[in-house]
Amino acid sequence: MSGQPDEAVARRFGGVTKAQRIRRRGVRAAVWLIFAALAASTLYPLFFLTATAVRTTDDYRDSPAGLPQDLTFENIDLAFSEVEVGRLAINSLMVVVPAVIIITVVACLAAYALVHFSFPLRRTALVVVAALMALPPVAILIPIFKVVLDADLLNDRLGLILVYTALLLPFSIFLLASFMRSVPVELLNAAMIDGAGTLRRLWSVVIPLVRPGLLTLVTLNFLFLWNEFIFSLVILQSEANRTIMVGLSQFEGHGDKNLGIVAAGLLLSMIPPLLIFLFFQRDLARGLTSGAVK
Amino acid sequence: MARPEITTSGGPALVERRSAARGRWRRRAADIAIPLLLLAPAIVLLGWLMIWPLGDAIRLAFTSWDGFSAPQGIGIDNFEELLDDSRFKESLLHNLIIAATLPIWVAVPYAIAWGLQAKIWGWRFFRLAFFLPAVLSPVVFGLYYGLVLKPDGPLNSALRSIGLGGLAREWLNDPGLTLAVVIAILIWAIFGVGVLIFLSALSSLDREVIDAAHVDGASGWQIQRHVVFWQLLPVIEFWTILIIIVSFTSVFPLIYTLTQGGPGFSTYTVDFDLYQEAFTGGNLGYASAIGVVLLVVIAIVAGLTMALLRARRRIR
Repeated sequence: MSGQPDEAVARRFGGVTKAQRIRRRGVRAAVWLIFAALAASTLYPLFFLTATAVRTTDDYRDSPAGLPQDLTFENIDLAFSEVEVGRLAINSLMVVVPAVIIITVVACLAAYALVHFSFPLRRTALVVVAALMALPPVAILIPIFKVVLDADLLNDRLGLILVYTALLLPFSIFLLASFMRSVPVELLNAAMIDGAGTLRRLWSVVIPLVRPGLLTLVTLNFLFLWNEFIFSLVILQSEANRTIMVGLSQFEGHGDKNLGIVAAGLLLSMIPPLLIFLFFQRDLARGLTSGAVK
Repeated sequence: MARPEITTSGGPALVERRSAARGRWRRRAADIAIPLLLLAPAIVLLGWLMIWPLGDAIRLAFTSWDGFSAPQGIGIDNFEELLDDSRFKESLLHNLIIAATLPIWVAVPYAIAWGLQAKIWGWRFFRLAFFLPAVLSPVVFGLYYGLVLKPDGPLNSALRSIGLGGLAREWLNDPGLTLAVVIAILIWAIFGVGVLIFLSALSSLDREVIDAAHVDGASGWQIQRHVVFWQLLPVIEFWTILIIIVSFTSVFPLIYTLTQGGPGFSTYTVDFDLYQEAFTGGNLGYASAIGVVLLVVIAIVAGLTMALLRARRRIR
């Protein structure tokens, strides 16, 4: 670079030479093309699954990657009657919704205690929470299975609800604590002087101020549990209360005939995550980045 | 963080009726009791379903247990068997191969975040699109890629129709290729999260230092290496640790729905092996030993990676 004085001068004064401008444009165009290809690969599932779900098997065989010519709603009907996506979705909701509610309540109480009270071992408790966040659940799959088995909660939704609650608690407490730290102590003191008790201060002062954090937490946890697979597979083994991801994974869809049904089932299972993706994108981003960037 | 003034025992009006010493004692008791009560549900749940199982994992690792009768203590037999278990060793090797591609997992989102940060045309759309796989279940993209990568599926048929039929492969039935396909899918699924994390880190960069480096005549690459990298190091470390944990313990749903470990055992990973041993083989004690080894391996790999990243800091 030092051999080209005009470039150095141009850079120092904030301008660019002609050669640089052309090179920069070229780089930008190349980067743009790579990005476009990547975006095509991440959006293609939406197109492909929709297209495959609404076309006949013969039409699919003609050109699997192309546009559908011969439309049908049969696959979607069969996804409801054969795979019972509707029942699977309800099964999932019956686990995920209670779990998300319990997690939110328990994590709120715990984060409130950890942030706004001082007591012995408070630091230790925070360290334990952080350490548990890094503990991969799969490594303790067997002993968790044994706890559930011993408590006679195997094939019981309550068993999975409690396991889900415990698995997501460390992250939830951590996330809420980081939001609660920004609640001013003066407000809490003022509320206390006005005679507000411990829970009253949480409900009327802290919760309203961390509402964005709560929304982030609820959407993230819902998304995570709706998509969860291995614990659901292991704890709810009976066909009657299988969750949606397990139900889809057990459907024998390898024959070409069932291809459209699988696509329809997958598409339907994606509806809740897609809605969250479209409407709560900012909340998800905040939740995912809050741990990393501080 | 001592805030004794927050806690209270009764309203201010009652305080005057108590002796000073007794009031202080009661206040101290409340200081401990109230947070403890608030924490109680979390302590019970975490203790019962995470901390106890963590200890139990080690106990079960030294037993033979079929899931029905009581676990039988067998000493270190499980671990001795692991040393001779070629399937386990192969699974571990595959996980280590996945871990070896870690630089890609970090560099790809990092580079993409830079591109988006430069406000390239359509960057908001790209940011949205890249994040889409991250909200999908691994079951969904496992089954999706199962369809797309079929021998007569859309990928091969598209390759043939644009005259690149020579590139068509049996993507999921080629012992030398399928693991690479799995790794590519894993990266595809998670890179959007990394992009978001790096983007938000880049937006909080200290611009003044970068401008100063510019004025001093540093090249773009020099600024990257000597200024930006160090500012972003905590975020890079966070992402790296996350990726290591994910790459060792979250591959199961994809393998289960995409390859079932095949062809042969060429895409067996440790978490898949653990599940197979426990729930198709009925060797739950053995599977628990695999879990314990998995934890140790993750700790070692994460520790080494951190040491490597930190070592660069010291050399500087």
